[in-house]
Amino acid sequence: MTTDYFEPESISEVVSLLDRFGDNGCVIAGGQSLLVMMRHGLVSPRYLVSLKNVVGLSGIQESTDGDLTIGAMTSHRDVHRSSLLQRRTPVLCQAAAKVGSTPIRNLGTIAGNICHNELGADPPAALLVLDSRAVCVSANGERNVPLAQFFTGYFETALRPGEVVKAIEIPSPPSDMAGIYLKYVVRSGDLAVVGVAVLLGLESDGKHCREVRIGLGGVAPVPLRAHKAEQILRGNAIGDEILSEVANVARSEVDPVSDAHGSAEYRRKMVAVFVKRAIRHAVDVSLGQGAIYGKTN
Amino acid sequence: MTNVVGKAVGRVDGEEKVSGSARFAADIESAGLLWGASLRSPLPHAKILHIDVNRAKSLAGVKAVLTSLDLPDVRIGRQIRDLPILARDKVRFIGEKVAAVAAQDKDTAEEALSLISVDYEELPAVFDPSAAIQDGAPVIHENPAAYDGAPHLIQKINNVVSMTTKAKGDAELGLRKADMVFEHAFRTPFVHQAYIEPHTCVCAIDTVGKVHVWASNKSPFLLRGQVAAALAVFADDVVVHLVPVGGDFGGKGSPMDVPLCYYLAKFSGRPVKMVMSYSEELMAGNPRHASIISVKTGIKKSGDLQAMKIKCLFDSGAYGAFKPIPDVNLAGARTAGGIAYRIPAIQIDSCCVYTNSVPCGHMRGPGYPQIAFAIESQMDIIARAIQIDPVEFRMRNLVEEGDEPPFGGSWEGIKAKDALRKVVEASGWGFPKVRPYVGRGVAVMQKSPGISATGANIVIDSSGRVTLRMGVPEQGSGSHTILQQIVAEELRIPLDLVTIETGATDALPDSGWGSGASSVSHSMGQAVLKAASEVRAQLLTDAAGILGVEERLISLENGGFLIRGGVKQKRIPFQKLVSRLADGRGRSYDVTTIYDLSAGKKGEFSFSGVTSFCAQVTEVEVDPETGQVAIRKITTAHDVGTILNPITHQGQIEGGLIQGIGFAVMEELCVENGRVLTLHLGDYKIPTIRDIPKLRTVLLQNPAGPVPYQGKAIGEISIVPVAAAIANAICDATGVRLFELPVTAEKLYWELKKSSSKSCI
Amino acid sequence: MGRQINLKINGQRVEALVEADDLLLDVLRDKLDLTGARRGCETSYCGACSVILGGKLVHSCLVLAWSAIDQEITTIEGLEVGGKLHPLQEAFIQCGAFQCGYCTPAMILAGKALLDENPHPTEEEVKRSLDGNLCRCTGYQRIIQAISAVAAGKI
Repeated sequence: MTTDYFEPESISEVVSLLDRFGDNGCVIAGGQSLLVMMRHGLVSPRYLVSLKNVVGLSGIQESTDGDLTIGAMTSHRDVHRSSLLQRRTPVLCQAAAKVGSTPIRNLGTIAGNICHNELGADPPAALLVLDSRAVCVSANGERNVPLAQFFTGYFETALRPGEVVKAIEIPSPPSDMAGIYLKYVVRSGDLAVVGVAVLLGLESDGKHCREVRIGLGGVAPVPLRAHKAEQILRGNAIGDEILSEVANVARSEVDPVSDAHGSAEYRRKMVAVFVKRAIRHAVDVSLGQGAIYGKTN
Repeated sequence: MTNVVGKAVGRVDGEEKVSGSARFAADIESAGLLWGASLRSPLPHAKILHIDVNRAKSLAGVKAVLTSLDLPDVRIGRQIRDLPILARDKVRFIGEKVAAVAAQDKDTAEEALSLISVDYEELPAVFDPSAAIQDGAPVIHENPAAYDGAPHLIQKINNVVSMTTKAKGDAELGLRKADMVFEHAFRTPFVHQAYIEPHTCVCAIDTVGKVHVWASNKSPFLLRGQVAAALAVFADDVVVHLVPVGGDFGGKGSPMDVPLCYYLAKFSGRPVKMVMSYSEELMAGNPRHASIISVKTGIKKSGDLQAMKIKCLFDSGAYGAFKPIPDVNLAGARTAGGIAYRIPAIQIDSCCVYTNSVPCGHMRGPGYPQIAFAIESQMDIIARAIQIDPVEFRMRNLVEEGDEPPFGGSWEGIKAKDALRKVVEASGWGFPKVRPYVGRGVAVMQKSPGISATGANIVIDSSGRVTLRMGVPEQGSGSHTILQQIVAEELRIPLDLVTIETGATDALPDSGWGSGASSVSHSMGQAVLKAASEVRAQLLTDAAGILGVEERLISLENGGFLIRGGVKQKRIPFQKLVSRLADGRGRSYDVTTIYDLSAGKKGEFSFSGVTSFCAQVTEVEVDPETGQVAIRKITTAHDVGTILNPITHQGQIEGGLIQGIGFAVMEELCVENGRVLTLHLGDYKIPTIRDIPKLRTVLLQNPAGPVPYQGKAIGEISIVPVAAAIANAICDATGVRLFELPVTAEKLYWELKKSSSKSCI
Repeated sequence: MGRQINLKINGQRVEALVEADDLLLDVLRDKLDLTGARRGCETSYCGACSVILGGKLVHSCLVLAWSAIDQEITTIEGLEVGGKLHPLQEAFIQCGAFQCGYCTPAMILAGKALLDENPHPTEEEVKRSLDGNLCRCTGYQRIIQAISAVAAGKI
C-alpha cells in the first residue's frame, strides 16, 4: 500500500529519494500504466516519487547540431502535436498519435511508455528506427542507454534500481528519409497486434533503397529492429519480389505470443503484411505521393 | 389530434442525467455504510474442505466475515433456485463466491479477503456443453430436478437444466420429402452485456426489521420476491427503492449480490454496499449464453422452404439461476430466434446445459441473436447453392398477410416483404460494388413485444399537478418519457405538468417484470393509458357536476377544459378547474390500474398477435491480406407502429445495431478451462466511437400494435439480424462462410487461405 | 498518512483529507460528493470517470488526487451556470445522445474539452477525441450529432 507521495523539483532530489527508498520506491510520471498496475495489485510501491514538478523534464529541445531531446514528462499528446517533431520525426508523431485513447495520450508520457515496456506499445518501434537513447540518471550518475539495449523482456528494461529516465535523445534524425508508423489492431484504441515503424531513404533515382530501418512492436518480448530484413532491402531496387523477401525475413525475426486476441502464427503473417505496407507507404511519401499521416487507427 | 405523442420530446430525466445529479445505486450513501466484498473461487469445480476466516475476522475495521456456514441453506434464482448465496460444499465455476466480508472501507475489505484461506479438493470439470450431456461426464448438480422452480421436465440426461421443444407440423417427414436438405452447425460465444455501470447494491435493515434495498436492477418487484424467498421473510418486509439503472440489456434482472449484501448487513448490524469490479463482472456476471446451433432445412426444387429442424445447445454455465422464464430456457427458442418464413413444418429443440463455466443469463433478445445468426446464415447458403439471389430467395419464402406464422397462431398486418423491399431500395443492394472484396449481406427477422402484468397510479392534487407513480426503473430506454407523454396526451396537458415518481416497492403498484422483453411501452404503457383515461373520466364527470352542464359537452383540449353548447365555447385552464374539483371533493384524484391480459399470467410473458419485422443489409469490405472486416454501412428497415417518441425509438434501433456489430465481429468472453481470460474492457472488446459504420434507418409506419396508440416494440429487434447480415456480406465479399462468432480478422484470414474457390458454400 | 489538500474544482477551492494512494475519482465521489464522475471499469478503458484537468480530458481513475493539487479541475457539476444547462448538456437531451446516463457526464466533458480547444471539429476529430469513452447504449451516432450541433451553433 502506498503511504507517501513526493513531488521533488529537481532530478537530484528524485534520485536521492529513489536511493533512499530502494525497492519500496517507484517513479511516477503520467501514471497511466503504473496506476493500472497498482489497481490490479501487480505492483504496490510504498513510496511514489513524481516527476511532475521536476524542472526541465517537459518539452522538446533541439540542439545546434540537430539532436533532439524529449523530456521524460512529455506527453504523447505533446509529442504528437509538436511542430518540431512533426517536421523532424513524423514517424514518432504518428506512433504517439496512436497510443491508447485521448485521456491516456493527454497524461501518459513517452518516457513512462518505454519504462513500462508493455507488449504492443506504439512509441518504441518508432524510437528504435530513430536510433534513440534513454538518458538514465541515478545517484551514481548519468548514462545513455541506446533503446536497442533498453528493452530486455516483457515489462522489463535495462533500468537499474534507483535509476530514472530523464529524457529520450534522438541523435540528429535524418532529414532525407520518410517515416511511417502503421498499427494493426483488433479494435480502435487497442494495443498493437503488430506495430511497424519504417524509416526509408531512396537513392536519387527514386527506385533504389539507400537506407532503411524497420522497427517492430507487439511481436516479440521486446520491441526490435528487423536488421536482417533491412539488410536485404538496403541498396536494392524496391519491387514486389524483394518486398516479399523482406517481409518474409522480418517475419522470421520476430517471436510473438499466442493469446486471446491472436495466435503467434497469425501475428507473424501480419508482420509480413505490415512491413510490406509500411515500406510501400514510405516509398510513396519519399516520392511525394502519399500523405505523411496515413489513416490513424 | 395529438398533443405530445409522436413528438421528439427530450427525456423527462434529461436534466438529471446530463448534469450528473442522477443518483445511481453506487451513489446511495447511508450513515455507517460498510463496504462488502466477495472472495471468489479460483477453481472451476472443487469440494470446499475448509475455510479459515480467523485472520480476516481479527483485522481491524472488519465488521463481518461470512461463509456458507453462517447462512441458512437456501438457494436463489429468478426461476430455478439453484445458486447458493455463498458456495456450500463445493464450487462450480471460477468466480463463484465462497466467502464475503463487510469492512469500514474498500481497502480493508480487500485486505480481509486476502487473509481468508480456503482448502479445496479439485473435482473433474466439464466445459463443453456437448461433452457435459454425455454419460460419464462430471456431474455438476447432483439433483437439479429437486431445486425449487425447476422445470417439470428434467430428463435423465446428464447436466441438463432445461429441455424444450416447439413444433408445428412434422418436420422429420417434411425433411424426408424435401428435394434438397441442408444441414449446418453454428457457434456463438459468451457475450457480456457490458453496461458501463457494474452491478451495485446497498442493503440496510431498519429498526423494525424491514430490509431496504437499492440495486442496479430493472425488476424491483421480482427482486423483492427473490430476496424475500432467499431470506425466508415476507415480500412486504423487503422494500426495494428504485434507482436509475446504468445500462441493462437483459443483464440487470437478477438478485446478484443482494441476498449476500443483506446477510453482511445483518451480521454487521450496519448498512452495506457492494459494487462488483469490472473484472468480477466479466468473470461472474450473467453473460449471454454461448451456443451451438444446428439447422437442418429441406426445400423444394422451386426454392420453397419445406421443413426445418433446429437444435440448440445453450451453455448455461454452472447455474440456471439467471434465467427467468418458467421453462428455464431462452425465449428465442420458442420462436426460432424470430424466424419470419412461411414453412409448413418446423421443430426447434433447445437444451440448456450445466457446465463449469460462468453462469449465463439474459441479453437483449435472449436466444434470438444466436439462433438468428444460424438460420439467416443458412438461408444465404441455400440461396447461393440453388443460385438464387439471397433477397429473391427470402422474398419467395417470407410470410405475408394471411399466412400462418411459423409456429402457428396468427399475425395481423404482416410487413415482412415490405421491410425487405424497403431495405433493398435504401441500401443500394444490387448496385455495382466500388472495389473487390466489398460485399453485401441481408437478414430478416421479427420480434413481438413481451407482456407483463403491471400497475400504474396517477395522482392529481389540488394544485392541478399530475403525478404518475409506477415501478419500472429508468434503465436507459426512455420509458419514463413515453409514459409521461401518454399521460399528457390523455389529459391534453403540457408535458411539464406531469411528474414521474418512482419511490419504493412498498408504495407502488406491482410492476411485474419491470422492464424486459421490449415490454414496457406495451404493458406499462397500457396500464398508464388506462389510469389516465379513468382519471380523465372522473375529471369530466366532476367538472360537469360543478359547472352544471352535461358531461357530453365537456372535453379536455389543449391544456384545459372545453365547454361547448351555449353561444360561445368556454375554456377553463386545466389547473384552475382541477383545483376547484379537488377542493370540492376534499381529496386528490388517485387512480390505480392494473394491466393484466388473461393470457399474460402474473410474472409470465406471452406474446400477442402483432409482431414487427426487421430487414437489414450490411456492406462490408474485407482486407484480404489480414482478414480484417470493415463494416462500411448498415441499413435497417423496421415495420413499426405509431412511434411514441422518435428520439427514444431511434435510440433503441441504433444502440441495438452497434451491439450487434460487437456480437458479430469482436465480442467474446474468452474462456479457457472455465477461466475467463478477458477480464477488463481492454480485453473484452465492445465497439468504440471509432468502430461505427454509416447507419441508415428506414421506418415503415404501420399503426397496429399492442402499445398505446397502436405502437409496436422496438427494444430488442435491431440487434437480432446483424450478425447474420454481416456474415452474409463477408461471404459475398470473399466467398468464405464463417460458422462461428465473432468473425475475427484471424478466423477469416485462415479461412481465406483455405478457400481456393471464390464460391460460397 | 492522510494530508489535507486543497483542490481547485469548478472554480472553487475545496479541502479534502486525502491519502497518498487516493485516486482523484475516489476523492471526487467519496469525499466531495461530486458523483457525476462515475465508477465504471476503473482501469482506463470505459472513461465514465472522465473529468477535465488543466484543460485536458483525463480518466480520474488514473490520477492521484495529490498530483491534481495545482490544476483546475472541471467536473460535470461545474457546467451548469446559474441554473442554466451548458449548450452541450442541452444538445445531449435534444439529440437523444444519452440513454442510461451513466457515461453521459464523461461524454459531455469530452465534448467540452474538445470544443474548448477546437470549436469546429470535423466528425473524425470528434470521434478521435471521444475514443476513450465507451457508451453501450446509444451506438454513439447521437453523441456525435449533439457535439456537432453545438459546434455549428445550432444549440
